[in-house]
Amino acid sequence: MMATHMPCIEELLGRGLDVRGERRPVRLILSGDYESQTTVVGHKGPNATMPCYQCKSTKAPSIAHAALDAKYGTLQDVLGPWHLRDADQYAHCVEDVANLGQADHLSVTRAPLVSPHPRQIVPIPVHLTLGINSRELRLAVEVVILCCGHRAGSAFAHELAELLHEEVHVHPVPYHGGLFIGRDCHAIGEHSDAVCAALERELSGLKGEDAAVSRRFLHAYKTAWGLWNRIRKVLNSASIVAAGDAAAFRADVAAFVSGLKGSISWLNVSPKLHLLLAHAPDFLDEFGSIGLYGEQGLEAWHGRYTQTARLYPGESDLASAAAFVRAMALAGDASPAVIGRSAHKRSSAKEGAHLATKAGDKRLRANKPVVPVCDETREKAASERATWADKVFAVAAQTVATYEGRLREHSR
Amino acid sequence: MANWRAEAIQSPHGSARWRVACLPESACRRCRCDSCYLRRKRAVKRSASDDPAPIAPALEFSPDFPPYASKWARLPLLVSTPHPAAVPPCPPCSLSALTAPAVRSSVIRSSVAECPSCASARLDADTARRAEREALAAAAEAVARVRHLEAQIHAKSMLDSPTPNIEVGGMPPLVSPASQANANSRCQDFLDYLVSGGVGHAQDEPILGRIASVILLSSDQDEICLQHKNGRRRVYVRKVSPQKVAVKKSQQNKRRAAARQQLVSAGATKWGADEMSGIPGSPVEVGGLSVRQQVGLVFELGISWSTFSKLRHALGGSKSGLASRHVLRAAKRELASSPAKEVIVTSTGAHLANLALAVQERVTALCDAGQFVERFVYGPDHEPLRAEDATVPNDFDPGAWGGRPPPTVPDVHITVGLDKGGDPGSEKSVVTIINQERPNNSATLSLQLCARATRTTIRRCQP
Repeated sequence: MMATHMPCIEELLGRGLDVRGERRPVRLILSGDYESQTTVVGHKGPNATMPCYQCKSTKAPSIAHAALDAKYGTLQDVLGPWHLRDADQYAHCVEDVANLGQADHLSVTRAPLVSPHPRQIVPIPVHLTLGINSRELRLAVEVVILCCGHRAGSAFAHELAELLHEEVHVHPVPYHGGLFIGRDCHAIGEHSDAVCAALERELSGLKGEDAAVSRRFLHAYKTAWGLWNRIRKVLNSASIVAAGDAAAFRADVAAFVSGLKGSISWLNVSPKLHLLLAHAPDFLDEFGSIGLYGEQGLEAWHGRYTQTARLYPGESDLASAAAFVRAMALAGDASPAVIGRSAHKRSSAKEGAHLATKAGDKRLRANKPVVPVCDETREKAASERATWADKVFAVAAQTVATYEGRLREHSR
Repeated sequence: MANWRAEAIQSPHGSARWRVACLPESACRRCRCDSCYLRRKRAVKRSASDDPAPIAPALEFSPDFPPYASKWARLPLLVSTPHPAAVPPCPPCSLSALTAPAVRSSVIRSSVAECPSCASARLDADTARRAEREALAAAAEAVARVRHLEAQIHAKSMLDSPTPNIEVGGMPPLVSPASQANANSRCQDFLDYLVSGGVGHAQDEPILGRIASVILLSSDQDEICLQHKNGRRRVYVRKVSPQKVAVKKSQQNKRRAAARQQLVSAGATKWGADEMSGIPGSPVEVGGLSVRQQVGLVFELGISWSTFSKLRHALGGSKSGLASRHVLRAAKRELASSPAKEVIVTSTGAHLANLALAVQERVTALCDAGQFVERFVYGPDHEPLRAEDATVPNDFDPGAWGGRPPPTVPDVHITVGLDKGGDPGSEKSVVTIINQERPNNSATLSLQLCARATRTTIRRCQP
């Protein structure tokens, strides 16, 4: 698909753009989710030996790639340094990788569709938020499984789902793996105290050595939430951040990942965590913002097409898609930025004008009338919560089992 | 009213009730109104259907109708309503006898050939009608002169004695100008009757109230002085409610102003209205949406042309500043044929034909709108590595930089993204220009879909 536009993109890069009568070069930046980014640049993907498309770090220490591990390091090395790929890594087309070794092709096995500079690949802020938020919630279940057993872990997963429903008012979606997405991730972050309190209640009955271990886990968990809440805001901020915020972001990210890795020994640094740790601060330093270049606008097109595809019927899906693309090309002339230019500008409200000052204020959720929900919807939501809890518990149990198995192997 | 008059006329002579009943009857003007005219027409039709013989409609009033006192009634009957008695019988002539009877209108007569006798009769009628018109015009002119003289005399007498005195219920110490003595005596009679409570019938009260209004309000005097039996004297003064020289905006105009502001926000126009009087003026362009942007708005909102037309109508039609549906559709056709918006359909999906042109068009639109925002590459101290007003080298080759120009060269930041998902499932590639305030919300330029053919395939496979 991208091949259709390659001549146009090359023309864009070759000729530049006319800005106020002045011809300017184009700085090409690759956006999208992790999978699409690896697809575009010809990378093998997150399961490759070198899963990161910006550096040459291997996935994990292994005997087969011990030399590469020693030379470039692994994703599990949270202290760095990270060896970035060459600037022309994706510019030079790889013709035949069958005769090349891992050190030669560096997990780039296909001709890239677009050849961006490795430093100009956006570190996917939206998907980082989704993935790390989900990882944090799962971490609580893993701690409970490790300290209190599987039965308690399963019960805690369901309790967590109900807690998020009752106190945070978030719901897992039926798609995207049944996870929490979008604003729900930010809402969970804002109510992370409730999650930590629930975990503390669950671990409060332990005694002896288990209690000490659980306290250590609990402290690390609370610290991780606090750091992540600060990271999350800078990561998704669609504006140029200040120098101090950028420096704090780098420090928070390092403390977050290294703290988790140091306290929770079974934690595996995933490619997303590695992106956050190793490359997001660099991108922020270079371009001043990550959220500004993020993939949120791209993801929004899914909802846009889902909602408006019925307005453009055709003989086939292809005809419908063509009508949609034509309409969107025309709609570009009235983008929200254009409309906002002529819109009436409201002055911002006073500080705290929209906050409830009395306990009986009707703006408070507790004082609002209950919105009637039909039984079917309630049952469906309960079912999705139960599904989420089961999935989280299953993955957490597998992680803990793998970790315990590894410990047993070491003990032998 | 007729019943009341018949009853009141039986009252003792000299009583107030008797005097009111004896008031002269003015010419009824009701016969000129639509309802009376239609009623009369129905009666004429009814009588015509009862009697097939030609009857002059204007002459056959029902008995309860007042006399027809308009000037039209004084016209010769043969002009408007030919009557067999007024119009001499037409000798049998070939066409008129075949087409219509002689009593039919002159319209028919003029369209057919006439015999000499009919023609002479028509000429006589025309002459009489013309003479009548001239007489009426002369009479009207004379009446106008008389009224003018009367008004002058009345003004002079008002200067001498501005306020007439009317004594109610007592002896008539009526002091009034001589020219209005007769009218005031009638007024006095009528007021006596009203005060004495002679109005006993509820059904007559509205009519008497109207008569009172006519009598009291038709007076040219600014004051009416009434003296009651108990000696109390009341003076009624005609008072004109004062009006402000300059008035503020009414609440309605305030609402209009607020709505106007919203319309301007919606890309419409500002009204060149008079601020004080609120008189609407002509729409004035104040930087509203162009036709091109209005077309884009229709597609951005996903509304149909008919919905847009209804919205435009609700906002004031052409006064709203929004172009009509036909104008927008013509503009849409023109825009869709431009190379930057051309769409090609391949086996993989629908694509913009020329992405570079589309990007250039969007960048130009941003520059024209003043919304092009400079983006920089920052250094280690978080400071931009180039000045905001830096210029590109004269002999630069953008292609040599391969999408990563030096940080000191002004550039345009563009992201290219690919994503798969949605329902119906599709793959979308999007180009975003970062050089604007909110690129994620607004700058998505190109969307290509690789629509899955599963649904179509399933549909075709079904028997």
